[in-house]
Amino acid sequence: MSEHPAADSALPQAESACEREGRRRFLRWLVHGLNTLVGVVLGFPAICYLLNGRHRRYQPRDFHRVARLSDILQNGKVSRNTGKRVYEVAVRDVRRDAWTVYPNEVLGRVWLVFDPKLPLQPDNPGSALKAFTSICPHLGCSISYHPGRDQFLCPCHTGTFDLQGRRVSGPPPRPMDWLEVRLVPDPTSPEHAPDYFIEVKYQTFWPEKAQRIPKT
Amino acid sequence: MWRRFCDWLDARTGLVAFWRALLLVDIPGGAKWRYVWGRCLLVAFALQVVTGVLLMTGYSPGVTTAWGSVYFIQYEMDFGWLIRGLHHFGSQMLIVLLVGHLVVVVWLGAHLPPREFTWWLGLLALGIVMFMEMTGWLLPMDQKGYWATRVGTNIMGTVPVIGPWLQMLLVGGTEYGQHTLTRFFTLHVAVLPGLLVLVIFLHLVLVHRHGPTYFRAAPGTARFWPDQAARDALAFVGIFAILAWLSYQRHGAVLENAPPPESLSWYDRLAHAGQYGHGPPLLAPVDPQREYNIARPEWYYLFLFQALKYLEGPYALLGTVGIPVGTGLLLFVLPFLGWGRYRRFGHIAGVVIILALLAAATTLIALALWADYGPTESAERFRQEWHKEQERARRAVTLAHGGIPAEGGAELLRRDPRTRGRELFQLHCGSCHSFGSEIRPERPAAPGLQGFASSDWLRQLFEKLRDEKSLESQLMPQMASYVRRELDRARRADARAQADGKPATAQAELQRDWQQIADWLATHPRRAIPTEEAQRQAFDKEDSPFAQGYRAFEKRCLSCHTYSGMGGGDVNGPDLTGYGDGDWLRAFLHAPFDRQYYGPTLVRWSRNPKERVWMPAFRNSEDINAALWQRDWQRTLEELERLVPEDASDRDKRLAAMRQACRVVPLSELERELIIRFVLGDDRPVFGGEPIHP
Repeated sequence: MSEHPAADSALPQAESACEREGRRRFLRWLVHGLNTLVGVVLGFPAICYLLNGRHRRYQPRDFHRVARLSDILQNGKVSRNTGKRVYEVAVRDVRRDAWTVYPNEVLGRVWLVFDPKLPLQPDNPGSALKAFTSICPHLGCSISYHPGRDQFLCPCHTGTFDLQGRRVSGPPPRPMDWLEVRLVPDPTSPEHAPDYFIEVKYQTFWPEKAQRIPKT
Repeated sequence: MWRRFCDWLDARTGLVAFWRALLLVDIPGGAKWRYVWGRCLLVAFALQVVTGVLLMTGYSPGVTTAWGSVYFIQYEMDFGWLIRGLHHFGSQMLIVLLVGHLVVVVWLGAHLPPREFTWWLGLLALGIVMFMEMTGWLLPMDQKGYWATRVGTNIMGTVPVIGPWLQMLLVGGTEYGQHTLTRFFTLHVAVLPGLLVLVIFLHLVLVHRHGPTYFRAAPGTARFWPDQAARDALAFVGIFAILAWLSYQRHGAVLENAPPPESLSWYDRLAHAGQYGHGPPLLAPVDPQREYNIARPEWYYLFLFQALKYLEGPYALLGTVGIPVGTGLLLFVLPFLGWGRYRRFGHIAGVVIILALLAAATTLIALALWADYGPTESAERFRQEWHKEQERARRAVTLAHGGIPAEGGAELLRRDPRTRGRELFQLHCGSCHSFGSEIRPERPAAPGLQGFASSDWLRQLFEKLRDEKSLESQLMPQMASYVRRELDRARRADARAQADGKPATAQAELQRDWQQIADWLATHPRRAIPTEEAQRQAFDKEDSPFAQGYRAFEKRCLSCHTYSGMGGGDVNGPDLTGYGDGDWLRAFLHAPFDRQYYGPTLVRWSRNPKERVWMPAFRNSEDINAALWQRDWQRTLEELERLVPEDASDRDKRLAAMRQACRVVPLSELERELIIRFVLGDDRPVFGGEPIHP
């Protein structure tokens, strides 16, 4: 209206009202259009910004040296019934958390279960030596070992597992999550009593699933 | 359906009626562009709130984390550069809009009675926004914000009586630290915005109570919706476009190691445009151990900054307290000038006062900018410093791209070989060694180290050794005499061959061998040479570059130098296993006078009566092994002493000179590593799992 201050008075009333209504309709659409434009130009980046966590996926890890076999034999807790050794280790690696780099950070803890009665096959140690993450497959609490009962126990919702990692009782939907494990000969050990480094491929899995699905 | 929903909503809440009452108001005299200020301000503030909350989801208010988190927002998060840019420039836009609003209000006489309280609330909002801006500068913990905050809080401290308390309250102590940041953060994101919302609300209530002020002179009326709303929307879209455009400009530092944009999709190119310098400025992280010579507030505070330049001694208080308080008071009493029948006078006086204040502030800001950007000498200095800061910023973000140590962003530059390493080289090595054209000692006493141990560097060394008077010839007399002798011999052999009518190949062969040796040494060879007969024969037939290089080395050098436990002789030149790599340099710096390096040369040198500087050892004297090394050093000295003949007439003199030459200069592991990586052109920062110890 300020562009044509004379328009209202100069034109006949009816025409002016009609014209005014037309222009107002246009202006209404203009305002809605401009609002949408700003909304999109601001909203799209804002949503992408908030969803940027999708760039920081779970990093697959390689095998990590966590202990020697002799450590388990010397320091592991001895199961009364089976004679198995239970030993807890921490897995350390470079960890990047958003902008920060931790050069040697604990990624997680692992339970090692070693059966000294079984013959040890260094190339395929799976039967004698097992590794489980300490993360409960139920809702991600931390699993501890209960020596008196020969069981692993998740104290949050009292899920229990046996030394094979199988669920005994409680709400967990699947057995404890096992990890790939391998043995590497320790070149410094004497020939008559060879020792091995235990290496574990650390991984985490989605909780509350019946299957063991790795996080990606 | 929609209508029924609206009816239901309105019946229960009255929301639709409220909305209509807001929108369907008549504007006497028609819609005007000059009415857009207030509403644009509201929307601009809303934009600050939205972008501010978005930034808060990525920001971490800690001295060691703040810079890293802001870096991450701007350089790594999708569209972080845009969000931070809108917030950064939006805050400045808020000031522009506030001042514009203020001027228009006074121009229309809208501050006059009965609208005193509306005016005062507006002034209060301006004050809060100014304070909010100040608290926002510190949050990224970059150099600019940090130093501006120091000055700002010190200004606050000059207020009589309450100043020191105010400062302590704000800074959270006498030193700047964690609590300064958390306090500023709280003020910036909770206290001040909360107050501002309250003030804006009261302001709007009063605007509603007294009705807006219009120019009633123009004929006709218009409705707010959509006539004025369209103007408001257009104005705001204009403002938003300016902010987006400003954000897209390259105010930030460019990431040197960003992926080439051609390799990215259009989305990634836009979402991570921050890596190519788009976005608001972000300087290097705060490092109080470094000087920062260009502390400046943002442009809208420059009037105060400039005024403080003129006010010395006791008048300083006039600038720090007098000007802000005086201006505030003057604006505060503005409505009273138009009380009752003085309304017309008050209106004119108000306009004059506002324009005068605006002119004064603009002049001071212009003067401040002139002082920094004009054609003066001090401006040139400012620009140089600014350029230096930009370089540091670029280096900092480039290093940060590889991850920031938990100690914080400042640690990145302290552990950067290219910048910190250069400084340390200049400090510890630069009085003898040169490095390129930038580091030049007044009296060079040792070889230049740019391109150290590269093939070209070694060839040049050979060239220099041909000249009897060169520095290198004096430093390595035996090596120099060998070079000259070999050249001479080859020349004579060629002359003989020519006289006999045979092809002259000796010189060419010598040069080819030297080239091969230089190329071989430039690979820092460490591979062991087989000693068993069968393996050795196989090795001699091997035609790998390593084997060929070694054969040339064996032919020409092994009678003096050692390699991998082989060779050496009476002359006993330095061991060349892994020559010029990090480990070689580390061990060499630890004990250059060791038998393995230049020790025997030292013995011969000490016969020279001329005083010359000998390369000292650089060791960490605070290391737990320091005592061990002390013993090691003693042993080395004794070994060297045995090389001086018992019956030499000047034995005592020579021993004394030798002891003096074997100096040990304290140098921390970190500093040594930085120097080594600088010399080798290795740009990785020294932290995080990288070996520091030899």
